[in-house]
Order: sequence, then structure tokens, then C-alpha cells
Amino acid sequence: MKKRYEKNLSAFSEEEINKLHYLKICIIGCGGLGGYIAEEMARTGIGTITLVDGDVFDESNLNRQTVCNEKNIGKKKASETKKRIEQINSEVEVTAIDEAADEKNSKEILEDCDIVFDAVDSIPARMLIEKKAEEAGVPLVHGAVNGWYGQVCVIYPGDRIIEKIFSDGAAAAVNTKEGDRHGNEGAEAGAPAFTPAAVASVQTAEGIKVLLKKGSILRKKLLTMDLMEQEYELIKLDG
Amino acid sequence: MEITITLRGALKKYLDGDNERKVIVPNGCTCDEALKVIGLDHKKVARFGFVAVNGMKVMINDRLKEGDELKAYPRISGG
Repeated sequence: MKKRYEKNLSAFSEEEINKLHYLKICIIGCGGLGGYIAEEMARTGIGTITLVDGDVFDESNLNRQTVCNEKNIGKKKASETKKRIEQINSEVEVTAIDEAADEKNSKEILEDCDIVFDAVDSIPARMLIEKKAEEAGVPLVHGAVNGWYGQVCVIYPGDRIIEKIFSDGAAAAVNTKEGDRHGNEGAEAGAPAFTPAAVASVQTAEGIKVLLKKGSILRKKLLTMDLMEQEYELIKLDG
Repeated sequence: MEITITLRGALKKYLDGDNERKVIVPNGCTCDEALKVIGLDHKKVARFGFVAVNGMKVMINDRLKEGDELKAYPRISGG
């Protein structure tokens, strides 16, 4: 056991830590959520991380995106996140894909990974990821934030939770009324640093439990988090 | 019939900041119709997310029954 993982023994067995070294994750979106997920997974000792994001860091990301700093404004988020991870744990094999996940590249990106993390910022992108993860037979950990609020759930192929959360009459009715024509979040969207940190940490914990097949996971249950009122609820999604 | 409506997150302003309110709604009304009783028309609320009844996520047009606990959540989709 390397000294760098000794403090993880409070949560994992040595066998589990060693198992993580051979597993592969994919993080789609390297902004508020994705940066924290990548860092936490690297510190836990995951073997391989594929980072996917076509965006570049902007000054407005400095408030919450852990990889963003004053020197990398304008640089690609995926590549910058790779640099950050390599500084934290050089044993992790990291691949940066500096383009958005789309219909064409998603199959190749997801086919070899053991789990995928949804860390994007638009509903259409989430729907695409759910569809492609299902086609690849890979479990997906959904997370989303806005302001003081966040939500997390684990989605196995066939569960189609993103559809349930975002495609009903309520959410669908307003999807075209804000944000740009691609369904991205509008200018009023966003979050302070602590919300993506909290949500990404729950996503990471869920992902590790799925990979190690331990504990209770948020499958067919949506955890909603209100950090203002400290209200946390589990909503059943299998009805 | 009487039901309880709870609003979460940014939707709480529709209950003047209160967490929940017991309201009388028409028998067999839908979640959508019940929310309109408190002045919340989900189609006019940009950040409306979804509704749950008795802890289960349901469709906005699903019908309610006496004593149901209807909760509405904001749409959360940022990353």
C-alpha cells in the first residue's frame, strides 16, 4: 500500500483500493462538477480518467470551477483538468478530449469505460449522455446544480431517469423559454463554489460505490439538496 | 378535498416563503390544477422542474387524491 492511499483505508479495504487502479471512468463536462469529480477520483486512486469538454475557461468560471485559475482563462477545460490531475496523481492515466460529446464521438468515448459522470450544463447534453451510456451498457452518475440547490442520482442502462426528470410536461414546457436555442442554461444560472463541490462529492461517492459494488446507491432515487435550508430529500423515480 | 402543497428551493416564493400549505382543491384535480390554486402556473415559471406526490416523482397531469402531499421542485440543470 502506497503511503498516498493510507488515509483512504478508513473507507476502503486495500483490495478495493487496488481494484480502483484498474478501473476507467469518463467525466463529461470539466466545469463546476467535473473538476471536483476528476480531482476526487484521482486522489482516491482511480486508474484511468477520460475528460471530455469542448469549452474553454472564462473569467466567470473563477468563482466555482476548481481547475480554473487566473492563468488558464481561455484555455481548454479538458486539457487543463488533465494537467491538474497529473500534478495530483501521476499514476492516473488521463486522456483529455477537447471537444463536446456528441452523436458521433460518444460511442467511442464511452465504450471502454466502467462508469460515466454527467457533469454537463444543458438538458440536451444530458439526454444524449444517458442515451449513449445506455447504448454502451455503462452506468451513469447524474449531477446538476443551480444556486444553493443540487441533485444526484445513479442511472443504469434502461432506467432512463434523465427522461423522467426533464422530459415531463413541466420541464419540457419551459425548455425553450430560456437559455440559448440549444437548451443551455441562461445567464441567470450558475452556482457558488460550495454547491458544485457538494454535489460533485456525492457523485464521486456514488460512482466509487458502483465501481466497488458496495453500500446503498441512489438508483431510481433522486437526492435533492438545498444547501440554504439544509433540506435533503430522496424522491422515488420508479413509479 | 384537502391536500398539502410543499414548494422547494426557488419555488418557495409562491407560498410567500412558507415551506408548505394545506389547500382545498377540486376532487380528482391534477397536480397542475392544484398548483394553480396557489397561483403557480408551471408553464409560466422558467425554472420549474417536476412534481412528486407522497415522495414519488409523478407527471404534472397526474391526478391527486384526498390527503396527498404534493411537492414541486425547481429545475436544476447546471454543471
